[in-house]
Amino acid sequence: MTRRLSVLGLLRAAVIVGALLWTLGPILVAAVTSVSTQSEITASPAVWFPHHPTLRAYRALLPTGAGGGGAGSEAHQFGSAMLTSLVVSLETTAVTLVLSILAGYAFARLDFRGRKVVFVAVVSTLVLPVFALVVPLFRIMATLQLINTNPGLVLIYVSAIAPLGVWMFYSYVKDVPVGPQEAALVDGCTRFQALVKIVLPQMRPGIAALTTIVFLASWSQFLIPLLFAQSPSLKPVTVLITEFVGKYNTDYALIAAAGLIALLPPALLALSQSRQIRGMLSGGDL
Amino acid sequence: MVGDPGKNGGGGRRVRRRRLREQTTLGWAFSSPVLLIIGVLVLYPLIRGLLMSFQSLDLSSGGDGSFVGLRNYSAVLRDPQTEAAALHTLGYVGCAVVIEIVAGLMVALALNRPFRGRGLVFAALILPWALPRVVSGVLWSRIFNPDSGLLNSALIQLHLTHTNHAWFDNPYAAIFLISLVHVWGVLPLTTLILLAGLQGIPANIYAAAELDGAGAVRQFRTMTLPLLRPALGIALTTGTIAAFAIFDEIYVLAGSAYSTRSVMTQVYLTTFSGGDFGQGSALAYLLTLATAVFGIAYVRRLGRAAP
Amino acid sequence: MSKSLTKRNPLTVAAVAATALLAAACGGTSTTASTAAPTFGAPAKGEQITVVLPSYAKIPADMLTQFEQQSGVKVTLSLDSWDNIRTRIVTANAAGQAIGDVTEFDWSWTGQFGSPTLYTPLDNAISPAMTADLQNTKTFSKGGHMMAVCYSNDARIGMYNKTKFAAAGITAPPATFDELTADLAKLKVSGASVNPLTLTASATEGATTEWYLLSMMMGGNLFDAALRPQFSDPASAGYKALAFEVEAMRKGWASPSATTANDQEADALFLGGRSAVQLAGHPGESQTANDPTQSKVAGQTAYFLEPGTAGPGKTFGLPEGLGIPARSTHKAAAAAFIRWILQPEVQAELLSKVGLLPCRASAVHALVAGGKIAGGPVIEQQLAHLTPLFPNGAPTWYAKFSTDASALINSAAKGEMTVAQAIAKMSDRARQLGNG
Repeated sequence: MTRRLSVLGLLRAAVIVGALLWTLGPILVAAVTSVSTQSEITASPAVWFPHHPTLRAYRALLPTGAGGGGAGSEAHQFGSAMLTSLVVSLETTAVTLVLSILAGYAFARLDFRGRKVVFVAVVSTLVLPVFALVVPLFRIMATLQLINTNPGLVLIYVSAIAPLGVWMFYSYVKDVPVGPQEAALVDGCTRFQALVKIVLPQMRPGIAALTTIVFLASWSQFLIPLLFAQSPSLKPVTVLITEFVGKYNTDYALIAAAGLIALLPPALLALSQSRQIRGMLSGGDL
Repeated sequence: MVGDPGKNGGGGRRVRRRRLREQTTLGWAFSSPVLLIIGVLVLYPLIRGLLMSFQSLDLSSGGDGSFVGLRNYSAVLRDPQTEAAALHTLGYVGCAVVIEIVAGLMVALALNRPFRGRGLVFAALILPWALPRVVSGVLWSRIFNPDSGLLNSALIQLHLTHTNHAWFDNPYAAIFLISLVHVWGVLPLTTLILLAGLQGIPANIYAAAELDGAGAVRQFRTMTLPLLRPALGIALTTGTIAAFAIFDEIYVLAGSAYSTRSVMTQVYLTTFSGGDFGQGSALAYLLTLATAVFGIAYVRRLGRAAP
Repeated sequence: MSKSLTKRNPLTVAAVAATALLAAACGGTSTTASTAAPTFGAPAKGEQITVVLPSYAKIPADMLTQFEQQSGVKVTLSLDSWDNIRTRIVTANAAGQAIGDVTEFDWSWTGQFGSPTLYTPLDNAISPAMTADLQNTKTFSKGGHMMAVCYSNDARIGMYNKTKFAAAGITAPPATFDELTADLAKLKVSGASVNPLTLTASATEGATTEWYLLSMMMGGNLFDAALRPQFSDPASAGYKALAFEVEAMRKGWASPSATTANDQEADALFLGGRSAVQLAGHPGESQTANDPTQSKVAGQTAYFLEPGTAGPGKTFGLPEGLGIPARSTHKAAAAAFIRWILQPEVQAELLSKVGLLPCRASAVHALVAGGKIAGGPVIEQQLAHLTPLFPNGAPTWYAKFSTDASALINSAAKGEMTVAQAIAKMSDRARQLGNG
């Protein structure tokens, strides 16, 4: 028994190490690229490590650097884009979570006519490719005067991400035992109180995972902000970085550095959410 | 539907009816915000978009929006590139989904047990999804570039080969490698969904199984896997949807080469490059239909993921 | 055309320009208008316009302030990567919206966007004298109207590595295509360069432009006046150009990476000192090549005229223009912005600050004479051989053709099909598109 468990332990360690190598390998390439000169990046045969590492790209992107932080400077634009991405992603996460929890709970626990049809309709929208919707969406957003606005952007993100949220919450709520909730209802709690006081605390790990998913899904949006957030003040970092692609020359170090900085907010969010992931109490799982 | 309160709730008929009414009101109240947003921003555009797929909307021939019946559909279905793209797409879906689910499940299981530094590992593993796509494009080009690429350089230094390989000249290798790049970006989502599913499995059932003397493998087969079915359904579906929509990775690494085009590449080229929203929409909806068929199949087989 | 211009009596030019300035001062509504082209009044004070440009053409804020002081028009600059601008224009237009009052208008968009329902004809936006002084006007013409005004005179020009040529025992850059192939063979055999030719044969826009360039160098036109393909015959320039590309791949003149590298990655081979000849060089490349942080060949390179069948070959321009979307509600202010861009001092400033080669022949000439352009004399000579790809303006189906052409060139380069097969499919596609 002990021997078999340690085999499993080794296997687990191997999986973790393998996953880290697979994930971080390319990120490491980005890190090296971000401190290399252009001629080292494009050198053939490849130069693995820069001979004269330089922080030029980071200096150009950070307000304290030589690039200066004045309006219109690269650092200023980048900072503003990071802030936009953060604000829009946080707003989307908050709205999506609340709406998905309510709807997921309703579909899983409340018996009302039409819920099956409506639930399936909501979840099915996941298969729609964004390319198929952009033009009619553009028309509606123009009519509602929501193009180039923060609420407009957040609403489209929510509409794209909420179906997954609803589906995941539906599935969690189904897993939560009914007993305590019924008891609370009998004790005179309202449905909403039962949801908040009894159901939600039991779903904390699920909520943490979903928070991470929604935040990342918003953070990585590209086509939607490209089309619906045209003003410089609403441009998220994913769109801004494409501007670093030149006609004949692309500053690869700058792109890599910007990409690495853009990893920080999602990584910090994931780190904070990881505390909610509970440990298994007994060693039953593989 | 053991968990349905409406069915096991007690009391007389009047109580039941009152509870049903209350549940109907609350059900619609709780779900209406999502329904409103999806209705206005997804379903309405969906119907408008469907209409577009029956209209003449070719920018370059001055498409006037007149209805042309099924002409857009027959045009894209007649195009030999559509068939080729459909086959490539199935290739991408097959490679990507299998790798994602197997790898995602392994990583999620490993993460489901506490160990020191688990939070950091968790944060590290989601990074590929957070990396802006232009940046990953630059990275993978740097890795696969035949002349200055790191992959060739590594293989040569390890004496595994002595010439530079043009990785995307072989269509099979190209589709496989592009699938790997796709998996790199999507694996965080799969892992997160599966991990969330694992976390939802009540711990006490394992305690009971342990008392029964069930081994780890048997516990996994008889308890974890069945209880994970809804999450597996979600992960499979989202993974398949993402793979059916594969585009960026192809465009960055192989451009619009015939031998690697996906259906979504065709949609992009038709719509944004060719400026034909009629045919582009038609193809996009055909792709949607194909994706939906797969999605329904998973959900049906894995059951319980939907009511 | 540009050649005759530079030879024109400067007095005449000055006189015409003066008249034009007067006309512009009076609101710019005069001049010989073709039937349907609109006229542009004076902008209202305090008018605001949005100008959408690719990020590499970022006009500095102080220049925009100058324009505001002169005209009273405030400019909001909206930058995006070039690819993304097209996506934005196409989508917004399909939804009945415009993305700005002045937008980027690439030479390759003339066919697709060059319709009065999408963009405003600009025949009357600038004076006839300015128009006469402007290069690439044909490239931006569609249906008898000038649909955009050139602001970046990008063109292809040859570049070679002098050091590598010397190492192979070659003293001068190739003047003809035969010399070019002989030189490539020598460079390869002597070991001076393993893959001496920079080539783009990936399924990207860079591959089609390279093929056009080679076809033009070989003296051919790809399409006749009725837009029928002229490259089906094995003796035609277009056919020979593709055959040359495939030969270059087979013989190892070009690196195997040519099948996946976009034009930037291909260019990196020249700047990294791997290849010795870059036919698809561009004005401004000399500056990059001499910058040691970006290049390993500083001081080793020079421009040369694209080789032709006998003597200098034709070259291919990839100019970028400015257009005014038909749905813009600030057309007068937008036109004032375009006129401002064409002022000689603004053109000079755009060259020094943004690196955009002017489109006015007189401005190029003055800047070359003043030594303001690296490799200027060769560039000016090369610009005299500038030929539009479509003498009567690009067809509406150009974008669709270009996508298929690049994929077919790529297939031929990878050996998935023969040159004959690729050419046959390409001309079938062109005919099919031409027949609607």
